[in-house]
Amino acid sequence: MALSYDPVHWTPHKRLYDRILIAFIGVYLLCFIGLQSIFHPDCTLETTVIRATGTLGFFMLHLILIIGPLCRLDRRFLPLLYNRRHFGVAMFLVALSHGVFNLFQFHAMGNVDPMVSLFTSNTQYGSLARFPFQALGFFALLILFLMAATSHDFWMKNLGPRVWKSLHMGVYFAYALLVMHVMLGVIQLEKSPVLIGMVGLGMFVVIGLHVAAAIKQSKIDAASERNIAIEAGQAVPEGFVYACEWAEIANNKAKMLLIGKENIALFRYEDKISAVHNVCKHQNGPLSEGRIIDGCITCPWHGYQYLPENGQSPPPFTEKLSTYDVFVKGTSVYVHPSPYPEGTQRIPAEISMVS
Amino acid sequence: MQEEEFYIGWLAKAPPSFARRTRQFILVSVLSLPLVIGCLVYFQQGFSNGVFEYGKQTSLIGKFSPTPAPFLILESANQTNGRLTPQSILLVGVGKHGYFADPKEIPAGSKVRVDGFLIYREGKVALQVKSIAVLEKDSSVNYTPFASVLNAAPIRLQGEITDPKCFLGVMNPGEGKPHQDCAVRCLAGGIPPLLKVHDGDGKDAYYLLFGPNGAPLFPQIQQYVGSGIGLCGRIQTFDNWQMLYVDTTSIQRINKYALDAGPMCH
Ligand code: FES
Repeated sequence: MALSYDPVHWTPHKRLYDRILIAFIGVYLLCFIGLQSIFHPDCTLETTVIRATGTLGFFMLHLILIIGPLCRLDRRFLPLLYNRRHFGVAMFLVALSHGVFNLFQFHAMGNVDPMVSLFTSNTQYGSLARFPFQALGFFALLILFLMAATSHDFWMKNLGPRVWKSLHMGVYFAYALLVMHVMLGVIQLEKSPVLIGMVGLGMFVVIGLHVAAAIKQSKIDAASERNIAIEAGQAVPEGFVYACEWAEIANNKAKMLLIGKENIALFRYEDKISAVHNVCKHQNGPLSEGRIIDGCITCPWHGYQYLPENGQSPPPFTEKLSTYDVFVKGTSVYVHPSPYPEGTQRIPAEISMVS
Repeated sequence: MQEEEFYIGWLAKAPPSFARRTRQFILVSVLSLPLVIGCLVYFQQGFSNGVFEYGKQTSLIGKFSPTPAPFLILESANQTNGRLTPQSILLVGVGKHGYFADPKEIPAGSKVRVDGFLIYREGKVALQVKSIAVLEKDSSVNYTPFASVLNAAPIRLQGEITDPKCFLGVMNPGEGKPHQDCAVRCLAGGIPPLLKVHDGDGKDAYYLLFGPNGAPLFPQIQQYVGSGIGLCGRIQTFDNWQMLYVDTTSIQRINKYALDAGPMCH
């Protein structure tokens, strides 16, 4: 079998996702331009295109931002997350066209370079209401560019998931810049309360869903910590901490444990229990929400796989997780919360169904 | 107990419950489109009926008047009561540039033919010059434009500064914060500033702004472009245009829709 490098692993899902995405963008632009020419026939085509691409990019960013918390609130939204990077790149391209049209319309063919004009035409950086809002849009676009350019797994491997994830958290900073870009820009001219209300509603939905997801996650975290606090103190081998009763873990599934700073996924499969670090090497996905499929821990976010006994991805993949010692006494499961180096083989604890 | 469904992105098919949720998300997003687009389009404040006849060339013959801004004065425009009522057309350059003529090549008062593209709104006309040909050179040094009246007493006005080229029709809207940088660029390129004065009855008046002696006001007024200001100046009626010779020490930032008169002018 030959192994060849495939920059995008196309699946029927990805193709369908992209087709829907392109149709969505096309329908939006056509409807906006069509309606604008009916309701505002005096508006120039350039202004129409600038407003169509600007509003579409901002709308898409809202959809992108709510997919994450929606998936945390209800796992069944996960197929949307799986190809979200395509959505992100498409949104960047729409935003880029908005930026380029603007740069040309408002800054080109003048007495200085358009990029110089962008930062020097309005110099009132000390005033909020008169702040140069186009500069805010430029920096947001720069962040979105960095994210789009590094969205491929190639970059994630090279930068490491932690750096990559932090870089991609920049989307929230870009969103904040864009809210300011809109409020200090077009909303200073278009003052309809409906338009201002729409920006507010968008923020409310984005922030509200993130808060709801965070509350849900903190409840899960608290539950896993409480479990340990209540049961700790039972007679246990040196250094081991009580985790749960093995019957609490469904077969081929996991339980998440927070012991001190250790975030552990405890998997039950084939009458065995193994523990690995709960954070996926791909994009920090929560492995404890995954499953054992074909003998491998399978991440719920994008399907990366690891062997439960040693935390290693099956060849030819090279990702490795830290592993932990597990000890079963009767019906109780104990975990030693010191991690072994990534990819270290540990003998799974056997569970006895007749106890 | 029924096994809970589990989704893996690289599998060909998503479990039914996951596929259903995904479809619901797409459906809600698509169904929200008409509402979102409808509101975004409908609740815009509206656009002027300014026109830029880009690509449709017009040839005009008239007298060239370079100060305080370059104008073409049409002498054959209209006849009213047997008297000529010329129309003055502001000449502007390509892109974000004013029109500049070498006084040796085109002295003030010369009869010229200008080819270019018309820009007009509410009775004010500008022309983006493509080419200009001198038909008769005028050697008179002090050419006084036709129907030019200078008001002796300064008055106070308040409104918003933009550039006449965009405002009259090249851009729509050619005013307000989104257009601010473009207006600055046009003024930096030599187009005289335009003050739009809102008179409270929904009618607007427009003034071309100059320094006290007709000198360009840019860059002193750069920081005031696109927002409300009040200022004092002397008005000169120049055919169908109004010029305002501004006392630069009187410029103040204000709410552009404020109707009170503000401090007296001296
Ligand atoms: S986070 Fe992507 S597969 Fe785990």
